[in-house]
Amino acid sequence: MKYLFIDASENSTFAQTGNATGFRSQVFATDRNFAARITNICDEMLQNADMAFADLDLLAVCTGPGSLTGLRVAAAFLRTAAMLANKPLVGISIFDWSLQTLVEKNISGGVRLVMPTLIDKAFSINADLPDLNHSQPELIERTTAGAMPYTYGIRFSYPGVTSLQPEPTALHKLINLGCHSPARSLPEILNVLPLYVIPSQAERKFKEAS
Amino acid sequence: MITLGIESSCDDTSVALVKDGVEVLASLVSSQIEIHRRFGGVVPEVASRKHLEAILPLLNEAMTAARCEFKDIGQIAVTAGPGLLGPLLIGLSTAKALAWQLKVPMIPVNHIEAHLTASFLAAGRKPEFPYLGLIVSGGNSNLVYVTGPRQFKCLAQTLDDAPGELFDKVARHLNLGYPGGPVIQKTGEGGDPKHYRLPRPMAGKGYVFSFSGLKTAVMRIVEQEGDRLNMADLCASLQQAVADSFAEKVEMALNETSARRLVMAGGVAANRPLREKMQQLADAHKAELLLPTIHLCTDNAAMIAAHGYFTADAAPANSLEVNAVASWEMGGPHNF
Repeated sequence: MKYLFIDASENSTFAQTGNATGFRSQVFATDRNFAARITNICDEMLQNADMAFADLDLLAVCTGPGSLTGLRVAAAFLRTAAMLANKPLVGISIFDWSLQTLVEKNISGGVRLVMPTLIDKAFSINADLPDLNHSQPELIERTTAGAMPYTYGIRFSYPGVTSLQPEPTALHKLINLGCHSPARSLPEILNVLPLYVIPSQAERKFKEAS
Repeated sequence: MITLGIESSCDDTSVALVKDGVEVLASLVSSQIEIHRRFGGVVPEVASRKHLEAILPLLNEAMTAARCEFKDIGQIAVTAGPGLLGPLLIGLSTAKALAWQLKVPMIPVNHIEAHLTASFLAAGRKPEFPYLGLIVSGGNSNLVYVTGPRQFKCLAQTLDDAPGELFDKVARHLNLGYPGGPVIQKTGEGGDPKHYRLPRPMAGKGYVFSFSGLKTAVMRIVEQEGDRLNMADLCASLQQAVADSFAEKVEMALNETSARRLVMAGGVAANRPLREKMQQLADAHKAELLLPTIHLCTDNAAMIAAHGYFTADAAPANSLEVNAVASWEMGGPHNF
């Protein structure tokens, strides 16, 4: 299966193409210029993989957690491209990607994943590997991240936490496993969104007041 | 040629199809006003979220309404600034995907410039130069002399609040609701515009606007009048003060330039007392006044498409590398 994946959840952009024989990934130092470079990144990835957009069987986009601006730019771009070209689109969460990374490392049993968000908070999920199903993310204080055993910090170092970098091999496997059914119709494509949205300060204040 | 326009600079998602820059085939707006009303203003994070939800369904609706297919689109025009960065990026990313997939040019459009083109679009005409442009909205208060496509000489701008901002703040203070412009106009209907003596800020001080003093003056009247306050008279007096402030500077420009065409644009151009004042002024100076329709006053993608059509030659060849920017002066270079 030929695919193009974009992860714009961080300052640098991660992109990956893959087919039946392997994958090719690249990190772009986009900083705040991701939206300016998005077409060039896609063109470069396809060119390096010797693929044309028309050849792709699947588009894949990271759904977070991470920079909501970057995630939305990638989602807006790939959702539109998927709709126009009638290509299936799948959203990949960093939690799923990270759990698959642990499976690839032959880790099994109960694990906890934490990923920093806001200034002092982190998202936390629990899973029982090799099953990739996980609990709903909850917001915890970052200082409590290392309080439990078998805790892995996604792109995050903290005392008591094992740092974990989601890996390209695991992403390739995850996409090819087809765990998530891709969106094909417009209503389905509209559900491919950044998933881990923390309410804005204005919304939190409004909720408190009411 | 059919231009697809996309606008998402604030709290309205809009998609339009315009033929040859003058004929609106479809212009749809998905307003978030009800969502932001509870917060008393636009929350950028919420706006970004809602733009992403709305833009593709709106695009499809606009295509259906215009009876167009994607292969009919000759170019994409999109607001690249000024505005709220998060919301702008949703429209820009969508436009880039469209241009990339359809292999048509993308024209990044300055939102404020496009507001002026809206008045010509409302008349079904292409922009004719020179003209005086008065842009009055929630974030802008500019008087410009326009000599060609993307060629502007700024004559006056505000030192502080824009008129829409003034109306919003006053409406909030008076508990009238949001957005301020329409509720102040409605409340002021039948009111005596001479009842309350409000200042004409910067009168006689050259090409400069200022509106924050008016807000303070209104608050002082509210405090002094207490239960005697006549809300209709206060709103009518406020609108008169705003209209008079603009009229003085516009009259100066009509006297000092050769322009005999006056274009008013932006959300506050929907304000009836201001429209009437500008018409009187234009008549007195034998100038033509072009006003947008109410639909074209507020943020809309039809004006983006029309402006993109008439400024396509000025768009950079590598426009797909343009970024969205919160600040972008009229006539200024594109942002990379």
